[in-house]
Amino acid sequence: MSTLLKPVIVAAAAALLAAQVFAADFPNKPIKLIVTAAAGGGEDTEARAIAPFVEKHLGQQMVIEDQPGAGGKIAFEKFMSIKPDGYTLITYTFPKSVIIEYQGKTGYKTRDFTPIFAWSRSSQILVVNGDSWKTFAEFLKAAKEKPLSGGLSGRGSTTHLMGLIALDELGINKVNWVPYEGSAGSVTALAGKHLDFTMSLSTSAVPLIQAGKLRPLLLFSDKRDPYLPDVPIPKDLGYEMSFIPTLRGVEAPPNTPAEIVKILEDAFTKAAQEQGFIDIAAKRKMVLHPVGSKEYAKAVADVYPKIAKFQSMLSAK
Amino acid sequence: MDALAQAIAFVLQWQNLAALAGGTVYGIIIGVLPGLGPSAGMALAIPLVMTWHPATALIFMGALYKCSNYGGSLTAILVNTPGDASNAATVLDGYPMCERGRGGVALGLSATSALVGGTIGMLCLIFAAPFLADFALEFGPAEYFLTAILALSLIAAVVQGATIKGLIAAGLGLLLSTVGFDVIAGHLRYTFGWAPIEDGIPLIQALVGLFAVTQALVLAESASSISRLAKLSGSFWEGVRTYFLHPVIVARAALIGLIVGVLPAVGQSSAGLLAWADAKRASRHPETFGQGAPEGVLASETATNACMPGDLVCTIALGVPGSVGAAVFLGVMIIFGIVPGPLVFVNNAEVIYSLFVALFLTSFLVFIVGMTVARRLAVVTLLPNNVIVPLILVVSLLGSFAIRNEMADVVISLAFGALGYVMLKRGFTPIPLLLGLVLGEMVETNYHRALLISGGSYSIFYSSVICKVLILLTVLSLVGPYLGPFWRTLTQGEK
Amino acid sequence: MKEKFKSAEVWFKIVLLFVFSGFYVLAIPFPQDSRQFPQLLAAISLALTVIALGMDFLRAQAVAGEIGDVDDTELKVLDAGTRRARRKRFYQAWAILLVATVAGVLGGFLFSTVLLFAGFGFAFGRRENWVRNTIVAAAMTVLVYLVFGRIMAVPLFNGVLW
Repeated sequence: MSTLLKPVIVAAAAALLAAQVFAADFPNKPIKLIVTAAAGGGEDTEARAIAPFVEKHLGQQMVIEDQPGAGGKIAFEKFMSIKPDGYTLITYTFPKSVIIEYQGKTGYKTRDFTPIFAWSRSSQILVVNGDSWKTFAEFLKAAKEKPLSGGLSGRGSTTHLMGLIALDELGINKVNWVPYEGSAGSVTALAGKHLDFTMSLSTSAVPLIQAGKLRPLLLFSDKRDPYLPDVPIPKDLGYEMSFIPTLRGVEAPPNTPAEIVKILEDAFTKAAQEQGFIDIAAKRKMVLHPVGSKEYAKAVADVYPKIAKFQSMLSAK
Repeated sequence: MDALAQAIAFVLQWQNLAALAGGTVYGIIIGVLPGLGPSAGMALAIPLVMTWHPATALIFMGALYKCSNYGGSLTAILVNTPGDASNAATVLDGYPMCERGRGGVALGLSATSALVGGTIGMLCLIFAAPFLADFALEFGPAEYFLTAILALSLIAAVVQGATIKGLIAAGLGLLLSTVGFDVIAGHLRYTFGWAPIEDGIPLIQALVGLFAVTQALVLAESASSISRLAKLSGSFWEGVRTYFLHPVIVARAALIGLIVGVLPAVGQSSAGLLAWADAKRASRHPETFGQGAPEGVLASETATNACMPGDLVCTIALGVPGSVGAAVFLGVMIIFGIVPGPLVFVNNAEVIYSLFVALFLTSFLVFIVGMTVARRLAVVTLLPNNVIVPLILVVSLLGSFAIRNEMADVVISLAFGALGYVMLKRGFTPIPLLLGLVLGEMVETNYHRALLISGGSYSIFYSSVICKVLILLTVLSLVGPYLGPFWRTLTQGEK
Repeated sequence: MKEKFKSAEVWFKIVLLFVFSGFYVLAIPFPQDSRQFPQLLAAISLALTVIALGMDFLRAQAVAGEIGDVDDTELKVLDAGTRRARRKRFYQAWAILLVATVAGVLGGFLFSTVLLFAGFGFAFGRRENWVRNTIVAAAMTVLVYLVFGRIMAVPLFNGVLW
């Protein structure tokens, strides 16, 4: 027994030592950032926006690679077996990957990844056409009278789940959900009066809201959006709801050493505080909400039971 | 119009002209490489332009986006390999013209199409963008469904003479479009657990396979070089002159291109094909189409060039991108703080109008490039097969790979290459298959969406004016060829 | 000769029959909404293919009655000669493609590039030109590496092996 143990201890010590040495001059070559969305989409643009600032604080180049296949599933699965040396990171919109896990068999588990940092957060918003209901109360009354048509950014997406939760809480019987691919389609259809309302991410609807074509009635969050200060939240109207905020951030492969995590987390935190990045975020109406690695890990763990419950609601429909 | 004058003065500053030229050339080069597409080109250029003045950056990106299509037409004509789905129709007549040694004429036609189609598109964009955007908003799921049906009904024109085979190919294409995640019910169809096709069969990769790989195989088999006549005759200027002999076709093609472009989510891939099919329908000698008819190149290229500006209409005026490339462009706009939407014409007027003026000028620039460079490029048709076959394969498969950095996409392209080859040898043409693949999702998804909105009632399909017009056009397009001779006998009878 | 050509087409259509039936049958376990479209398409395409086959057989019977075999023999010989040559080139092309793709899966796309150029250069190029062909293969590989690998940051070494 002890003869086996000794080499194990030596190996462990060597590994620790190596990790220290490794961490000492990390990073010493470019870092690859895998983006699980298509080029030009919200996630990709945000990653490309923060990358130059992170580069400054890390002293190394960040190379972005888009791997959008299957909503990011392919990339997540590959990511499980990538070397945890800190040179490959992955971005994603949380809790997207968790939802995918519940939709079928996947070769990965989000809770195994090592969270580093999240920089922005967005919530779902309920919008109606500018020419229709003026207040949430009016809308609610109409929704209870007959089934309305509601746009979604996709079946099983965060907007869908939030919509189901909302139905439950608000006591609406039935809605004809119309899924689109991404928010752009559902928001446009609403502007053309083909839908009664739409659940979308706040950032996707902003241009049309500002132009007066759409009116936001409710923001599904626990505090108001600084860019849309007039939009009420459920608490204001007397409703209790659980939310699914979307966090955008980066993660490292499973079992990444803590020293490397710290270096990366610091770099990202400083990058998110750079004035240049804050300016860009303001233009995109991104709500900045820095979340450190520990908080992030907790958020991931917390969301699993919530999603499980909602998924069963989803398959019931 | 004061804003316009200011914009013109702004564009004429040297750095904006440089951005204009740079974007155009870069765009054409990207377009020549099959599979890569403007979205990749733009995404890669983002770090480069981040530090520029917003208007200059947008001019560069816009020029890139708009001109990539021309590069694709060059490979379509010279090598029978469309650079992007929007050039697919150009191979139908462009390449045969090349084989007959009239490549120069085809190049002249495509350059002039870029000039005229692009100009028409830009004029509409400049003067009618908000109006066009409102028009686009009127299209709901029912209207999109009918538009897709109309597009499919034009397929019969593409394969006149072998209609059944064309329909079968289209049916296969439509079926293939159902592979993957079903948008409406969220069900995975026909994927057999293979993750790369869960989003559906990727269009560009299939296109690369059906055209580029197939073409490479055909060339490999025939052991000669592309130009059967080892001399490249046919003058560029003859092409230019021929273009202006067909104003009616130009007008129709431009209209089709604009409408297809303006409607977000229709997909630019169809513009060229639809215009080609329409021109063939309306022609007095439909049998010449597909054999090297100049009208074919003219129609498809004009439509595609008018389509690009149309695509920007909804992107800029509504913040809704009509294609992947437009989505990247949208992202760039946002990075620079230009929030798209109806207010952009008020808040950022100088930037937007400078962009429009610059894009207007790109059409002329493309023509000049075509005039000087295209003929030199034509020498590629004289390269021996052992160089050109791997060249086509490497470049197109690389493009296919680089979209998602997935080796599986190369496999997909090869599979489609095999399919395309088998189809060609068995008397089927791959074009209806491509059209089916492109339009399938639009047909099915919008059908279901419309019914979801109406709660199951079919009346939604003829409720609006647009719906009724679309139904009428579809009926006409199906019945039209039979009416033609009927009408002629009637009128001749009167003589 | 005409009939031989037709029979290749006929085989393809028979394959299509299986493909379309496959689409139809595989769709049976799908939920209602997902099922409608594919099954409708499969059914229509199946019907069309059957019609096409039917027309082929009718035509073949009509043709057989008309054309004698007199002129065919000479044409057949010529045809067979070129056809064998074409077949050979065709198989070579596919062999090169498959080997190159496997190399790409294992080592990354750059290896596919090398093999494609080298393979086609040797198999299809003229013997005297082998020096030139090798140079072309090397040069193109370097070019692809520079332009795509460095400038465009496309991962060319993504292989499974490392």
